Amino acid sequence: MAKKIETIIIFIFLSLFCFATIYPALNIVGVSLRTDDAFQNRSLSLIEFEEKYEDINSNGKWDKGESYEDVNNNNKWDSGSSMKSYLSLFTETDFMLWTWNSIIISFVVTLTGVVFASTGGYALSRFKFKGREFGMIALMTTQMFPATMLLLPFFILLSYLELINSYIGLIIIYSSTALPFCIWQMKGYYDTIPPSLEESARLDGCSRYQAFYKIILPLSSPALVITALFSFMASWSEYVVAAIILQDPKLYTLPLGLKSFQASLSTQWGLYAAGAVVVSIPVCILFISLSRFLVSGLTMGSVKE
Amino acid sequence: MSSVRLKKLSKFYGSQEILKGIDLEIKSGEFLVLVGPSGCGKSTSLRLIAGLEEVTTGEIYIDDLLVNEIDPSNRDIAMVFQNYALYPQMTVRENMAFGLKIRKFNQSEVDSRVLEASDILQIQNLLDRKPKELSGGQRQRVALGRAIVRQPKVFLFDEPLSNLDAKLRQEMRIEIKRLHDLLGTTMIYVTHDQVEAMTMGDRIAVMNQGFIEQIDSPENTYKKPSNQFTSTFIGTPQINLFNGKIEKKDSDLYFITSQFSMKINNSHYQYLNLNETKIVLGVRPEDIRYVDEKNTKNIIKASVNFIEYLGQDLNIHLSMGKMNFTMKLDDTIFSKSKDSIKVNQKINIYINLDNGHFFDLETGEAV
Repeated sequence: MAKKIETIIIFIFLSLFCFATIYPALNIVGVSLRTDDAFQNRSLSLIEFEEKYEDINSNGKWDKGESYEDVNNNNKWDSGSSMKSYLSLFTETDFMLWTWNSIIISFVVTLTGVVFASTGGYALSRFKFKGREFGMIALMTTQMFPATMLLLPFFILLSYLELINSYIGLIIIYSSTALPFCIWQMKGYYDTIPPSLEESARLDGCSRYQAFYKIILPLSSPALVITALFSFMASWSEYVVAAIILQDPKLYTLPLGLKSFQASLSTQWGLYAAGAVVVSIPVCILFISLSRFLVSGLTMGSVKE
Repeated sequence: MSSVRLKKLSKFYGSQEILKGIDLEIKSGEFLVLVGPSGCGKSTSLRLIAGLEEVTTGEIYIDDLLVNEIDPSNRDIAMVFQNYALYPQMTVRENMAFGLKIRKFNQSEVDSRVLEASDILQIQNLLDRKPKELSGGQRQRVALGRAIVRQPKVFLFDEPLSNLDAKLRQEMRIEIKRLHDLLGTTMIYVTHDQVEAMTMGDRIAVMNQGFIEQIDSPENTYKKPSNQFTSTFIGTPQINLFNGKIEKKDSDLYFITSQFSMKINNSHYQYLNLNETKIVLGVRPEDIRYVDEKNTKNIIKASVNFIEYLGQDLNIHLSMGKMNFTMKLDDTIFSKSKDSIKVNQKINIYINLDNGHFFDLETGEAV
């Protein structure tokens, strides 16, 4: 009985947290389907279906007491849901350009992250060399400073290098902030793979490099996926650094682009919300499709510990 | 088939010397076992031969070719690891074919070799399974299969059976020995298990603290240990050691301890080397016998501390003053004398000195 109550309480808590997480996301979807001026609509329905209205009192108003007008003269209530925000997002704004910018930057950062973290982590895991311990601690130390604290030095560095307002500048910063974690992460994973696998491969005729990419790398896919996701996320949704480095709207990444819908006097909430939904779609797809790699246990059975 | 020669081989890890200049020659087609306690350098020797570790000083020759600088991939050596080291992402077939594919053998050759090896090891039905779907014994067979498809110059085994249970271990011991007879390839086998060493090796190299203590046939390492370490390492239960001295009375030599004194027959293989000095006598537990009559010479009394029943044999733990030692007793003898051989009782024993070994007290070397 006590067990049952405990389970019920746990489920209540989980449901609360689920609600707290899902509600804002659904709200954004809801907002994206309304027109801009309906942002303040207090209706609880997330999607308001078009309804035929009747003007019973012949006063040009819908007689449930709200003051919507039949703008399109089609006997329909026109403040219901529409894909208008999405349409204008793709046709009237630079959203496609920002997406392209974000894709390029995130792709390069992810690639850099995966290449350097997989090789760097391997070196730290397998080789003993001078400065190894120091290097590892140094990598860890960089993670202790929040990115905002490093903004000024980054900016100064990049301006010396004349990389302000360029993809490369942003890519360097994203990579350098994401890499230490990724390297540690890969090192930790390699540590769990017995060296005898590579040794066996080397005796089978592989060079050191072949043993790495034919045997160890395929085994490390769970860690590689996490590394790739981390690198991707670090650049795809980053705002603060991008806002400092990129000034030309043609170079804007998605988060900067979204923010530009928010002007000092008015905000185009519909566009903003639609953009936010579109931006989050690739991340959702990535997480769902890669989730099976996130489950570890691939090395089971290869060796007996 | 190839010979392997180690010349003044030494290995340091940092400032720690693991191998202290060992010399060893393994003949072509030989089954040599490196045996010794943990940390004696046996696995390190194997890894040096494989090329997985760099030699600090000394030379390794395979067929008179100096291989110190040759990459492991080019030494044409196969190794079976303690933890099997099968590639988990590949099936058994792919595991076995991997070494051949890397060496760019054509597909039909790869297939026929894999089939042949799986036939020898009776793992044909496992070829499409992944390592995680195999039992320990099956994995070890696959690891063997992966080694034999390559038809290498030399096989190295690094404690391959230590993860298996006793029954499987015995099966695989026979299996590996059978493979050796079948293939005739040079095999170097590392183990800490002296039963494996004794049953499998053409010759045994007993290692201790980075040195080779003795290289000899299994029979000689048991019957004529060249030093005290070998005598204690080989043989279960362990050899009994008695500290004492040699004394000459009339023209005969006697071995004298604080508890007993015994005449040494002049037919003893070390007789001519013995002189009046402090010495250690080693006597195997089976060379101590139980006697119920009193007419034989060299009879002494000892009290029974503990009896280990093993089925066919029994280990009787005895003591004489402060000296503790073990006697191995056949069950048939024990059954007849159950009344007299009891814990805390004194029994008459006879020590067969003819099969005993004398070691220098200081150096531990056989005199």
